[in-house]
Amino acid sequence: MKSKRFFVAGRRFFSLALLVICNAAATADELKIGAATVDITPVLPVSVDGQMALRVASKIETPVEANIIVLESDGAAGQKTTSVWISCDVVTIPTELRDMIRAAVAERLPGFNTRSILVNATHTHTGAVVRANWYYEPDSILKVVDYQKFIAGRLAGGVAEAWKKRQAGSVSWGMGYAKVAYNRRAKYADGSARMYGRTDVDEFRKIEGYEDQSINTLFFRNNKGTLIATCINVASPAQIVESRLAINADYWHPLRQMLRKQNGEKLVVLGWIGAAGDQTPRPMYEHLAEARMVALRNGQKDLSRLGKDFRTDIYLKEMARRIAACVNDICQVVKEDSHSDVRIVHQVEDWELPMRVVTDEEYAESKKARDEDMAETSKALEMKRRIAWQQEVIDRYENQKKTPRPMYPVEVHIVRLGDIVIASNPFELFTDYGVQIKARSKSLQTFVVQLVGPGTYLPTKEAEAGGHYSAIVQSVRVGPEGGQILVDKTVHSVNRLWP
Amino acid sequence: MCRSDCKITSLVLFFLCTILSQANASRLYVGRATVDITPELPVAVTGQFHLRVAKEAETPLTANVLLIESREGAVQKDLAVMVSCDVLYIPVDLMPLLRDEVGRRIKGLDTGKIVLNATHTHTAPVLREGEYAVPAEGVTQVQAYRKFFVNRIAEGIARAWNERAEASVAWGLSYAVVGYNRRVSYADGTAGMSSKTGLPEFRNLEGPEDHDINTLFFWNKQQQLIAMVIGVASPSQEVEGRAAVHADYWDSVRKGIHRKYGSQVCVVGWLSAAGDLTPHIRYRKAADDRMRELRKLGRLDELARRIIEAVDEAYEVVKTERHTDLPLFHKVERLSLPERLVTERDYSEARVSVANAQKQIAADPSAADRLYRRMTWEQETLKRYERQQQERAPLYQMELHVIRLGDVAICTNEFELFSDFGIRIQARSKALQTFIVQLAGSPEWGSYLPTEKAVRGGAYSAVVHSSRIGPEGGQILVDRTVEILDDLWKK
Repeated sequence: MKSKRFFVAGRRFFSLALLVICNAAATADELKIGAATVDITPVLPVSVDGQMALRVASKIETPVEANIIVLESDGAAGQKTTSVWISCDVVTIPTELRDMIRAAVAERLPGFNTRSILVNATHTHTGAVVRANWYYEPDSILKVVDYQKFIAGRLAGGVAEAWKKRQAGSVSWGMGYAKVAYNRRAKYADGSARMYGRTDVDEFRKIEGYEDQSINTLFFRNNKGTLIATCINVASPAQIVESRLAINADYWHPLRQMLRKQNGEKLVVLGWIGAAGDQTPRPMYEHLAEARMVALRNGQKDLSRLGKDFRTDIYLKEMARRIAACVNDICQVVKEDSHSDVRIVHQVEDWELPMRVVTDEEYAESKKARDEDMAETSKALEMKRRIAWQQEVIDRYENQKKTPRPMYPVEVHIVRLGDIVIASNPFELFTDYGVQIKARSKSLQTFVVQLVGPGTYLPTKEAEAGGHYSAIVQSVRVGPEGGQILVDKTVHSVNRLWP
Repeated sequence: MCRSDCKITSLVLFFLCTILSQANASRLYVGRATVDITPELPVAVTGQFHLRVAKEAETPLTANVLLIESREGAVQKDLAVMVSCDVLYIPVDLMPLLRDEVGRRIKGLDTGKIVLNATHTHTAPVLREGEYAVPAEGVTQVQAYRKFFVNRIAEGIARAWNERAEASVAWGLSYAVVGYNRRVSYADGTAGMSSKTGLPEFRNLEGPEDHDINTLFFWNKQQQLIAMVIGVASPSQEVEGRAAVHADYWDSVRKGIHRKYGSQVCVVGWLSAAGDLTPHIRYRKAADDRMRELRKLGRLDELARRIIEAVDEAYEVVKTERHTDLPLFHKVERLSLPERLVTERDYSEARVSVANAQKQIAADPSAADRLYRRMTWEQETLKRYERQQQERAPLYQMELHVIRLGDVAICTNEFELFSDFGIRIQARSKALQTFIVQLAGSPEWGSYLPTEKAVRGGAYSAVVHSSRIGPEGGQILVDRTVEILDDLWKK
C-alpha cells in the first residue's frame, strides 16, 4: 500500500515537474510580435524639411509612412518586456515629437511602457517639416504643430493596432551587402574637405571616410511562417531626391513596393539608417558609368544624354533594387534559422555628452553671417533656417560664458534580441563611429540606428579638420570628443548584455 | 555637267565623312588563351617572410592571355597583349626575357605592348632569385620555374596571336564586397596592417574600400562569349598562409564562370588598386561567417559567389551593347618616379636588424627559413640608402601602360597601389570606366605605394622597406596617368 501510494505520488510529482518544464519551455521567452503600417502623408500644401531654404511641396509623389513593430517577451522574474520600434519617413525625430508620440500612446494604452518606444527617421528630405520654429511658416501651409499632432495620433493608433494584433511568432537575422552608401565628403590637397565636393579636379585626394555597405536585417514571421515584418538597416540616408518640392519617401517607397509585391501588401518594412552622417546614396565619382548601367537596366536606349544628376526616379528604383536583392537573398539564407523563444532586453539610457565648444572666431563668423542674412528684410523670412542656424552658435557661445563645459543630453536605446543588438543614437553619426561600435560589440550583429532623435551631425576629428558643412560648428552640437564617449558608452552597454 | 559635278561632290563628301567618322574607330580583333603555369613539386612559394615549401598543388595555376588588336583593313593600328598570371608579382627582370621569347616566336608583334599582371596569390612559386634561402636540391629551382613560366606565357601569347579574329566587346560596372581595408588606425595615430579592430583604441579603417567590379566581355563573330576581364580591388590572398600551390579565389571564380558561361571563356583577372585591401574580413566577421556557413560555402567559394553574381548582373545589362568598331590606343612610357628617401634612422635600424639576422643564421643555418626573407627585405633598404648618398634625387623608371578601348580606359602600375590613388585616377579620368591594373611588373616583393596618412601611421605596407615609391611618387603617377587619359580622349 505504501509503495503504491509512493508510486502514485511519484507519478504525480513527475507529471507536475514535466508540466512545469513544458510550460517553462513553451512560455519562458515566447516572442509575441505585432506590426502595423500607418500613413503619415500630410495634406497639401506643406513645407518640406531638410534644407536651408523654405520649400513648399505642391504634390504628393509617394505616400509617406510610419512602420511599427511591437515585441513582447517574458523578462526577468516573469515580468513581460515590451519593445516598440517605429520608423518614420521624416527628416529627424525632434524631442518634442517623440514626447508627443509617447503621450499619445499612453493615452491609447494606459500603463504601457512608453519609454521603450524607439522612433527613428529615415531622413527623407521630402517629408513634411517636423521641427517647430525651424522654417518660416506661411499662413497658407499646414502648421508644423498640427502635423506633429497628426503624426503622434497616427502612430499611437498604429502602436495600439500592433499591440492588439500581437501573436506568437519567430524572428531571424542576417547580414548581406549592397552598394548604397557613398561617402559624400571629398578631400583636397590643401587638407580641406567639402561635402558633395568635386572629385574630378586636380586637387582631389581622397574620399574622406569609410563606407559601410553591410545590410543588417531582421525578419519576423507569424506562427504560420508568413513574413509579417522586416527591419532593414542601411548605412545611407534616404535623400536621393532631396531637393524636390514634393512629398516623397525617397528610396524606401520603391523598396517597400518591391518587398510587398513579393511578400504581400501588408508587409511592415522598418527602415533603419545606420551611422551615415557622411554618406549619401548618390555616387561621388564614376557618375557616367553608374548612370549608363542604370539607364540600360531600365531599357533606356538613348545614352547620349547621361548626366551626373542622380536625383531621379530611376535612381530611386535602382537603390531599391540593390537593397531588395540583398534583403531577399538574406531572407532565403536565414529562413531556416529562426527563433521563437528569444528574450528581449530593452534598455533606455540617458547620457550627457560634452558639447562642441564654440570658439571666438566661430562666434564672430556666425554673427556676421546672421547679420548679413537679416539685413535684407525681403530674404530674411525665407532664410529663417539659415539665420537660426547661425543664431544657435551665437547662443551657445553666450551660454558658454555661464557654463564653460556645456553638456548635451541624449537618449540611447540598447536592445538585445537573441544574438543581435540594436544601438541607437540621435545624431547624423559619421560612419567611423558606427564601425567602431560594430567592431567592438560582442553581439553577432550590431544594428546601429541613427536619428533616433533630433539629429545634428557628429563628425570625426579628420572631418572637423577638413571643415565644411556637416563638420563645422553650425552643423554640430557634439564633436569628436563626444562621439568617442558615445561609442565607448554604447559598447559598454552592449557588451554588458553579453556577460 | 552640273549634275555630274554634284554627284562627284556628293561622292567625295560621302567618302570624307566615312573616313572622318572612322578615324578613331577600327575593327576589333581578339585572341585569347589560357596556359597552365602550375610548377613541378615540391616548390617554394612566395609572399610571406618565412620559407614555405609546397608539396601539393591544391589547384592549378594559370596565365590568361587577352590579345586585343585594332585594324583598318588589313593594317594593324594598335595592339594590347594583357596576361593575367596566378603569381605574387611579376619581377621586372622577367619582362625582357619574356619579350625576347615572344619576339623569337612571333614576327610582327610589338613586344613592348605586352603587359603582365599578377593576381597576387601568395601560394605560387618564387619568381625572383635570391628572395628566399630556397634549398638547392629537392625542390624546383627558381631559375627553372622562371624559364618554364616565360615559355608557357610566350606559348599562350603565340596561340592568342595566331587565333585572333574579329570580335566584339561590351563593358559593364557592378559591385561586390570582396576587398576590405586592412589598415587599422588607432587613437595614438599609429596604424597596423591586418591588426585588431575590437579594441578601445580602434578609431577607423585607415582608407576606403573599392567595391567596383569592372568587366569587359568579348564575343567572337559567331556570337560566342570567348573571354571576360574581371577587375576586382582585392588581392587574391585568402589562403595566403598555406604551404601549397593555390590560385586562391580566382580558381573558384574561373570554375564558376566556366560552369555558367562555358569552358571556352578565358577569364582574365585584373587587380585594381588594392595595396591596402584584403579579402580577409576586418570586422563584422562573426556575422559574415555565419551567413557563409548557412550557405554551406567555404571562404574562397563565398568570394567567388559575390564576384560571379556581380559579373552576371553586369552581363545581363550590357550583353546587347556590343562594339566591333572602336578606337584602341595603347600608350607605353617609362615614367620617372622619385624614390622614397631612406632616412638615417631607417638605415640605422635596418642595419642593426640585418646584423642580428646574419648573426642568428650564422649560429643556426636553419634560422634562414624564418629570417632570410626579412633580412633581404631590409638589405634592399640599406642598398637604397647607400645609393641615395650618391644620387641627390634618385628616380625609379616605371613602365606605364595606358590603353583606351572604346569608352573604357585601362591604366597599369607596378605597385601594390593604395586604393586612394586608384580612386583619384578613376574620379579624374575622362573615360566612362577606368580599369586600374596594379602589380603589372614590380621591382621587388611587396612594392607598396602608400598614402601620406598610411606613412604617418606606419606598419608593414607603409614603412620604408615596403615602399620604394612614396606618396609623392604616387601623386605623380596619378597626374601623369590622368594626363595621358586626357590626351587619349581628345583623339
